[in-house]
Amino acid sequence: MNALSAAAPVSTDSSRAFAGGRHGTRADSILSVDAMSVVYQSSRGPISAVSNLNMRMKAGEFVSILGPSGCGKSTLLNVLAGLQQATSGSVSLFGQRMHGQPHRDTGIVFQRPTLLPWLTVEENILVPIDAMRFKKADYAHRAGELLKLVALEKFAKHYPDELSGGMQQRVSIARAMVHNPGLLLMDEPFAALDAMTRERMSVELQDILRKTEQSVLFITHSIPEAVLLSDRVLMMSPSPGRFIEEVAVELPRPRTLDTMATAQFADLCGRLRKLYNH
Amino acid sequence: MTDQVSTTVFAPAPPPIASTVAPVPTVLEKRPFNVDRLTSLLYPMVTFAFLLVLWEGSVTLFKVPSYMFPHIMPVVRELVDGFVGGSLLPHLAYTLESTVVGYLIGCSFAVVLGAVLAESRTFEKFFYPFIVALQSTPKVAVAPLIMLWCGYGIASKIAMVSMMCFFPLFVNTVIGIRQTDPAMINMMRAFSAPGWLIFFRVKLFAAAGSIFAGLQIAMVFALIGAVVGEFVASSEGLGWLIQSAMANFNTSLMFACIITLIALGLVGTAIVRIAHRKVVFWDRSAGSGGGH
Repeated sequence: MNALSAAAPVSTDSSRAFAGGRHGTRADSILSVDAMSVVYQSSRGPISAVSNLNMRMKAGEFVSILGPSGCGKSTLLNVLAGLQQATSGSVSLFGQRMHGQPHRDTGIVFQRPTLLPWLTVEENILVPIDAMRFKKADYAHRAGELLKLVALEKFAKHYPDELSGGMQQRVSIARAMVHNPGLLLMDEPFAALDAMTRERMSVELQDILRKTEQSVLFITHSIPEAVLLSDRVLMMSPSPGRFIEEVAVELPRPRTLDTMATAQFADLCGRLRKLYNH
Repeated sequence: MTDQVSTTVFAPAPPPIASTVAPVPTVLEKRPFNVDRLTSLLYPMVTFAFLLVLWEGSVTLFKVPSYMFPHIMPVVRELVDGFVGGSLLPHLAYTLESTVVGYLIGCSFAVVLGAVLAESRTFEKFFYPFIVALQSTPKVAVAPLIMLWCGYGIASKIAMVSMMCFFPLFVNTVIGIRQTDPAMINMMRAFSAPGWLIFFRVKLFAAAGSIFAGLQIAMVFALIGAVVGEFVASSEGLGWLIQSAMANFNTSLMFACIITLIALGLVGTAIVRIAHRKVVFWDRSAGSGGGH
C-alpha cells in the first residue's frame, strides 16, 4: 500500500524555481570532503573516529554512506551538519568551506523524528523557517505542498503524538525540505522503524525525491536500503572510519519492492555484504 | 513532600488528550472518564465518612475534654458562624492576600532566576554553592528576622511566602530546562537556530511540566509561609487566629481555621493542576501528580 500514490504531484519546475537557481549547473559538485579526519580526546588518549575521508557529490545525486555501527558515519554527518568540527582536512558545501557552523542550504533528518510535541504537524514543518529567522508566512504554501508530498495533508493540524512512527518520520522529512535545501542529510532515518514500515518508507522516500530532484546524502547500516535508494554507495570500515569501496548502483528507476527480488539487486547486495564482513 | 498525598489522592483521571481534535486511527485509548471520575470520588468519601464517625465516636466514648479535642458539631458551628456570620472572612482574606501576592512574587523570581542559572554556566559557578546552602536552611527559622526587617504588617507575610515558594520552583525550573531532550536542541542547532530562540521555543516548553510540578509544590509551601508568618507576629489572618484561639483553649475555632486552610490548599493546588493540564496539553501525564 503506497500512500504517496494518492498525493498530488509537486511539479519539478516549481520546486526548482524555489531553489532560485542557487546551485549552478548540475555538473558542479555541491559537496566536497578532502582529507577529513576527526579525532576525539578521551582519558585514554586520542581516538580517531574517521580518517582521511575524501568524497564529492553532484547536484541531484543520491549517495549512501554504508557502514556498521560505530564506524564513524554519524561523525561524518555531524560535521556536514555543522554540529561538529573536523580535526583536519576540509569540507565544502556549495563551494563554501565549513567552519563548524550549520550551512543554511542543508536540511537534516535524524534517526528519531525529533518533532516538537507542543506544535502541530504544520508548525513542526515550519520550525527551520523560524530557526533561520525567515518569515513563516512566506513558507506556509511550501509547507502545504510538502504535506501533500509526504501524504499527510489531512494531518496538518494534528499533534505528533497522534501519528505513528512512520508518519512522524515523514513529517521530519518534510521539515528538512521546507527551506528547499540544496542537500538533504539523512542519518539512518528509518533505523528506529519496524522492518515492514522501514521497507515501505524506503519506497515512499524514492517517490518523494523523484518529484523534487533532491540531492541526498544518506547514512545507513542496511545494505538493501542503500542499494534500493542510491545512485552510489560509499562503503565505510570501522575504527577509524575510512571509505573502502565505492559501488555505483545502475538499477533502473523507479525502483520498487519488486526490484529487490531481481538478480541484479541480489548481486549488488552480495558484493557489499562481502565487503561488510571483511 | 507534604503535598504528595493531597495531589495523588485527589487527582482526577487525566482526560484524553485528543478530545479536541477529530478522531484519528492512531489515537490511543479513550477512557470513559466520567464513570472513572465518579468512582474515584466515591472511595475517598467513604473514608471521610468513616473518619467522621471515628472522630465523634472516640470523643464521646473516651469522654475527651472539649479543650483537647472538640465534637464535630461545635466545629461545624464555628465554620458556619465564621463564614455566614463573617467573623472568619477578614482573616481568610488576609491570609489569602499574603499567600497569593507572595506566591506570584516568589514564583516569578524562581522561574526567571532558575532559567538564568540553567542557561548560564558563569552564573552557576558564582552562585550555585550559596543556593544549595540557602536551600538547606530551614526557611521557617528565618521568619522572626523577616518580621524584624519587614515589619509586622502584610509585607513581612508576603516576603515569607515568597521565600517559601522560591526554592521548590527554582529547583524544578533548573531541572526542567536541563532535562530538555538534547536531540531537540541538536535539531534546532542544525537548522541554524540562535541560542535564545532554542531557549524560548524549545527549552521553556520542555521544562513546562517540571515548572508546573514546582508551582504545585510551591502552592503548599506558600500556605506554610503565610501561617508561620502569622504565628510569629501578626494581628490578623488564619494563622494568627489559630494562635489566639489556643490561648483561649478554643479548640473548635482552631479546627475551623485548620479546615479552612486545608480547603485553601486544595483549591490552590486544584487551580494549578487545571492550569497544568491546559498549558502542558501535549504531556499525557500532565497534572496527574504534582511533586514527582
